[in-house]
Amino acid sequence: MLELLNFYLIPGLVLGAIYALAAAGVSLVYGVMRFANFMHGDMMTWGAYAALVAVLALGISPWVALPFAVAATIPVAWAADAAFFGRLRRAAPAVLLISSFGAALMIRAVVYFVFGPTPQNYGQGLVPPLLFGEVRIQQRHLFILAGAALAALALHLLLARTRAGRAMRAMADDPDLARVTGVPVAGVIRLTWAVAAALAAIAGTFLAIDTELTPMLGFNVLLAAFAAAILGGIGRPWGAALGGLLLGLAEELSSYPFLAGEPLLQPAYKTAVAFAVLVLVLIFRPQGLFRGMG
Amino acid sequence: MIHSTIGRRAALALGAATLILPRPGRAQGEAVRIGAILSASGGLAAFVPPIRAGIALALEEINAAGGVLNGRRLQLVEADDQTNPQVGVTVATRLVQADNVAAIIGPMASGITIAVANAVTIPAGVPIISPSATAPAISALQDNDTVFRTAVPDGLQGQVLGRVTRERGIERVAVMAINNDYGRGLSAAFAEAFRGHGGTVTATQNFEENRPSYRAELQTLAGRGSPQALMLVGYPASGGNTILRNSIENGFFNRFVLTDGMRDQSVVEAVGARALQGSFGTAPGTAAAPEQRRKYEEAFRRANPNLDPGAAFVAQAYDAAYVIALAIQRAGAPDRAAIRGALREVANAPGEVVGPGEFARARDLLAQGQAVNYEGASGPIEFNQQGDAQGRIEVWEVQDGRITVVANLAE
Repeated sequence: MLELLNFYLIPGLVLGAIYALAAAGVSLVYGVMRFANFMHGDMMTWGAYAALVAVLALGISPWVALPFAVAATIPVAWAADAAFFGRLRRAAPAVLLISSFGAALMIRAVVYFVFGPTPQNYGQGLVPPLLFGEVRIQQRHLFILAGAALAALALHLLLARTRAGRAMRAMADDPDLARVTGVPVAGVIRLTWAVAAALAAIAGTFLAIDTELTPMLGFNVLLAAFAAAILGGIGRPWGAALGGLLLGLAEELSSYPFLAGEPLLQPAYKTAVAFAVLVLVLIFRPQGLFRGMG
Repeated sequence: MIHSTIGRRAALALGAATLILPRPGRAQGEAVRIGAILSASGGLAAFVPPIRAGIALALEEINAAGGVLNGRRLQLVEADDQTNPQVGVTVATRLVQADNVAAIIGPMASGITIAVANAVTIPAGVPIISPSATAPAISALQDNDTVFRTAVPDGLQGQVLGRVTRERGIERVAVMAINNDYGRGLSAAFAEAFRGHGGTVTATQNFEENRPSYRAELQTLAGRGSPQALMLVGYPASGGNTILRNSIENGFFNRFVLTDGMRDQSVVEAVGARALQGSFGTAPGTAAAPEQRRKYEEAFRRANPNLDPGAAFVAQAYDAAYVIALAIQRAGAPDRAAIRGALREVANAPGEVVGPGEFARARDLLAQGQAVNYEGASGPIEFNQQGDAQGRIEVWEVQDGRITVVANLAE
């Protein structure tokens, strides 16, 4: 039972928390601007490398570098919106999707150009886990879980309690109605990009802290983030966060030897689990766990 | 709308047509194009900078010596397959059809080499020489004699690694291999040899690339049959480093048996020298005559003071460029079929031995109608019936934070 907790449940929760942060950002952009933002994964990568710059230049820990990561990622999102997405606001969703893919490649090319392809890390070295009795958990995993919970709480407060958050939700529910009732559309879009970029930068830095920095860091989890967003009901950041947690847990638990020592599923096929869960949800509850938008 | 759609389609079709149509024939004296498909991004990216430098060095030497075929320069056209077979096929198509290359160096990964060969280069009859694709499956391709490699196949590597692991007193290992041709082929060859020498493989798992965590897999492997070491076949940036870290941090494994895919100094930097002390592995080694090797290493260091001429597959890539140039010279034209036919003539015995940096001499010998036998920086480069070079396997260890070669074995 302890094995299950230490090596399957806790890693599953940590992975799920990172998926949740990424998926919340994807879902938010979809809700307000109604397109699948494939640039999100590479915004994560960008944030993680921005944190690396701060870590190397100032000699600080990557946790302290999080604000630098966020501050470096928001302008990228704004620039991409000004250069591409803003001009295509009325275009078909497929056009926006492909242009976000193009923007993703541009960001990745810059990362490759500046930092090269070799994996890097924040120089924390290897740390033995903390022991609470028989429960073992990495300190960084505690921080990631706490950080993700804080970010989710902040997102909730923003959306539920502030005027700006209400405006974002109004845009998500009915953009034309929001416009005619005087919601400042341009401002809401800028704010949405800023929040999505901040979530991406945090998720990317967390992921890099837990693994290592490569130019493909964020893109490799992008599909899982989309699956989580759809699972939770696309356009509903809270649903996306829950979807992320569920997917992380499902992936890790699928290879637990529940039956007589053999893994339930060969771990090589773990990623397929996320999508099997997604397909099942879509069959039995097409709108996602929370009612998502079409 | 309808009009604009048609217009766009027409434009697309036109664009595609210009990509596919071969360009008009070149005048005498124009550069001969050599393609290179390297994994400049993705899982194998860390290997590429020295390999690219090795190819560039060979071409610079050849061009400085006056080029091939009465003064035509060799021009490298490089493409990035992103360590992805689909992308590999796309860029290979471009090299073959649009860039009209005479021959291709690469691809690096076995799975990509097989995909590119089957989909593009075998049908087009373009000779390819991979410096690093080591899967046994490549020998079995029905390739119409177009697929060559200067890398030594993994059958031999697995055999040597299985024996060396046993000789180092390890009786039980868990095996974790990347889920592709390379991982499955090499781990199977290792397991067979290891069992043959009395060892036990406690469990085997094929892992998926680019996962953020491998704790669950490692826990399962470590928990069964009390393995003494983890045998890992993978690439550093697409899971290999993460597996090593997860193993060490959680105390699953503290000794590792590695292969050529992880033979990179960046692995030691990422995971830490202390944690890898006592781990060892194999890779295609040098079977080169010492004087040929020395010529290559000196030239490489002069051109690239910051790169390692002994890094994985660099000498093999250098040699691939050399034999292609010699074969073009021997064939008398940058003609794909003629190059294929000439490759064994210039690489294999008999013939006057020529080595790294001796292109001018080799060209003169060929001009006099003599046979040449290229003895390269990575080995004697004798292509057999399947197009595989015969070579040696090196055994390496992590000693004081450096990857150090401790033996060079022929079997």
